[in-house]
Amino acid sequence: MKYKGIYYGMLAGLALIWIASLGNGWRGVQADYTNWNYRAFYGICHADPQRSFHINDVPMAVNSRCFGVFSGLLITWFFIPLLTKITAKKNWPAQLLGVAALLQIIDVMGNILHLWINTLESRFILGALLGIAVVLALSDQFYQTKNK
Amino acid sequence: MEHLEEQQQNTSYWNSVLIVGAIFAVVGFILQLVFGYMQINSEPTGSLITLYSISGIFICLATCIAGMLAVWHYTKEVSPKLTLGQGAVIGLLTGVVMVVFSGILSQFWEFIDPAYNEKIMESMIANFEASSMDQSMKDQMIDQTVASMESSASFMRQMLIGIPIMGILNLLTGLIGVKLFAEKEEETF
Repeated sequence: MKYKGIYYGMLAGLALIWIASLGNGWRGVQADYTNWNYRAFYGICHADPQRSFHINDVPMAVNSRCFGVFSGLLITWFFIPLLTKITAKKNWPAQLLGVAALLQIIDVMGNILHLWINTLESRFILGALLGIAVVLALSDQFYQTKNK
Repeated sequence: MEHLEEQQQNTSYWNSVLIVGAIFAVVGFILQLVFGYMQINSEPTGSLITLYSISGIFICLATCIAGMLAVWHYTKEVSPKLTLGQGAVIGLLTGVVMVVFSGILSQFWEFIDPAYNEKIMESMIANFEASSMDQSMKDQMIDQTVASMESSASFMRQMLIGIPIMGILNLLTGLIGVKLFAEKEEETF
């Protein structure tokens, strides 16, 4: 594997984002929207408590879709060293990324236009799919190259 | 000679970073203002899907793809050859520049319309009050809105909290930019 610095740096960064996104519930502390972890996602995620998972009855710092994206990114990033065989020189990861992005747009628009009502779980799954697809599409950049 | 080339390349990173970072900060800021004033001037409907919350989706998307577009700009204007590491630096710096520019613009707007944040807050609270959700949820959302608006006042806090998250997310899209726009080496496995 090459670019180990980027790999480990991003792994640490994504882990930090994921932990921050959990909010205060896992520590048994009430949500405080002035705390750094809740404030960190201001402008990125609306963090509507009705559209967020709760831990110990405390809403997370991000909504379920963003939590899905961050979870998908972190878990798939962790497995990059094992992805060589399934993503190298293949087109499907890029196609999957296109499909995942399109599904987000369709789901968000459908909800805004009241065509359907998405749920915490459906938003999480679609978000996770996007996070997974982003890393799968990127993973071949970390493979060792040989000069000919 | 080599040192001079390296210095020129570093300078050209900054061109892409500053141009794209500044454009995205300004566009995001203008969108936020436009949707913000539309929210202020609208009647409370009780719906949680407001113009202001919809604008958040577009602003979020826009601010996350800046790193990728800075890499695209670099490959068009400077050199199509770019390593993953260089793309990571461009993405990261673009995120940082965007947060700094957005912070400066927000501070500037406080001089133009000092009551802007308060008016947004009042409009959102009126909307929550008009909604049909239960009272405890209403209180939670109102507390969240008040806390978000009040703590957004500190410039340094915005920088300290915003830079790591936006930096990492734009670094990621910078890597995607390398994958999409940079010339690739022949790879063997």
